[in-house]
Amino acid sequence: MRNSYQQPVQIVVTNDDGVQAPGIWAAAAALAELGEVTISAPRAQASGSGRSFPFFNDGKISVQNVELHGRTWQAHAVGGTPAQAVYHAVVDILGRKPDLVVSGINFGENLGDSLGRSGTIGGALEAAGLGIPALAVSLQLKNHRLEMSHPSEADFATAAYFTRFFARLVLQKPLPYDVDALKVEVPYNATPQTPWRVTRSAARFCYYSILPGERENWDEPAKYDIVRNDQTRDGLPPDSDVAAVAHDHVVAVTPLSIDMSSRIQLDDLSYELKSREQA
Amino acid sequence: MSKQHTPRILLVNDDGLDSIGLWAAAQTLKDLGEVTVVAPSRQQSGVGRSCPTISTGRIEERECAFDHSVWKGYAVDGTPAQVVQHALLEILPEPPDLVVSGINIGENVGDNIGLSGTVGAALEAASLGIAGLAMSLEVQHLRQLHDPNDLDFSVAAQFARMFAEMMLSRKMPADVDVLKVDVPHDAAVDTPWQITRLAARYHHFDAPLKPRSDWNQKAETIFHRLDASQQPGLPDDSDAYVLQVHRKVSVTPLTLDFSSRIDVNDLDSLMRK
Repeated sequence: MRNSYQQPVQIVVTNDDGVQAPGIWAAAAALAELGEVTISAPRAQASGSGRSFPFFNDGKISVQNVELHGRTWQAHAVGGTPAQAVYHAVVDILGRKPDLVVSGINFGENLGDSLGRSGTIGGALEAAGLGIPALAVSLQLKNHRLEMSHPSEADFATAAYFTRFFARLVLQKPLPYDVDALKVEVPYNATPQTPWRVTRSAARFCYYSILPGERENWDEPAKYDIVRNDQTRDGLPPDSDVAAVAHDHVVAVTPLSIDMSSRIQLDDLSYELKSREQA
Repeated sequence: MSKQHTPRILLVNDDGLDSIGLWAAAQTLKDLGEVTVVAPSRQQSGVGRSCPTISTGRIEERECAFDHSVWKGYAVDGTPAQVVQHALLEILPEPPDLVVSGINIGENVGDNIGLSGTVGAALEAASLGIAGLAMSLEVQHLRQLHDPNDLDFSVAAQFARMFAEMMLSRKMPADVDVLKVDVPHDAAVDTPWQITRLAARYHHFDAPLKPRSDWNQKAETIFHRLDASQQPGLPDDSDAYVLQVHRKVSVTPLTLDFSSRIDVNDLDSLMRK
């Protein structure tokens, strides 16, 4: 594909599972059919990074050659979070904005209230903040526990198909106002024939909760667990991402905004708080 | 106060348990109820709402002296969002009525506040069903971000109590999960406040990379701050403008909901065209 300047489209691919994870390679291979792909991802596992930008990360970039599907790929391993990997891709590696940033394919869905903690989503939102169209793609876990699932590249085939499908769509026409990024969630049992649905984020539906496990003493390291809370439709908005993926087993496409301002008239809130102040 | 019981307030921050901004807030919030202070064991700026698995979550109880009083505080090895989780799930016997985050050293304005650990803690609280108030004090000089000893948090602490009281009195309206309050460095207790929106596409603390000859060198940034009065098109009801130009206290309602403001069916038909 070519961009509006009639040049081959430039796509930056990042993730939060690290540059060696199979999901990013599945995405890169699928996106290579659309344009020139630059891989810039955290050199180590960076799940749970959100859109964080900690200044204690070193930002060093090393180029690794990876053999895949009969060609040699250059991968840029960045000392930082997905948001920082995107920033360095734009500033250091390309020296300009690409036409699209794709974050993923994450191993494990990003649904409900986990979006603010997700490095996959954070990488896409950072791109959006820089004014670049962005796509965040995640594959649902088959098992409810992360360590019980062992992903191979083959598991990502359908998610890779949808990555290319939605990347092409975003490259073909600009996203509407306030759609800064698209979040795509692929059910573990999806095929390329699985339907997709535009959904809203079930933002207050507690999905992943990292719970401190049992420990005798606070001097011991905390034990973290992942709890999924999607077994019932109770309280679940029918047009939500959780309903689509966990219950209807369709691909969920959620438009995301970088504007965290509440949907409320400023005057209404002002009146409400003034009345409390005087009470 | 409409509540029958003594309100319980959890106070957290991202600058760490030793920050003077944290203890300034503790002093005024104790007028409203029972305050528990839990903070990261080290400085955690820029970590947003992240919950990295490298944190150990170790908790240490400490005695903290501030302004002639001695407080009990808890230091947690983790980010502000993890501090909130450990406080709610391990330290506090019952959920608090309000989580206050701050008072941060330095303002948090513009739409990349997703990076702010102060805001991240308040959003994490909201995600767990507790109202969150994120308080920040503007710095006059950038050097004060690293050397905050001459900052006076007393006015910001009065505003922390005022907004905490408002949030405790009744549930906040729908989609208002967090209130983000930024206090000008020259504010007085009678400085007016104004409800604002996030300044869109506005990176208030701009930190471009210093040029480096080799990617093996550590990436260093040149930290500077934008001047809202010099940004054409910046709305006069945005947080950055109200704080920096009007010199008022900026109060921004924030949502946990990242969904775009677009009809789902409209986007669906656009994408299937």
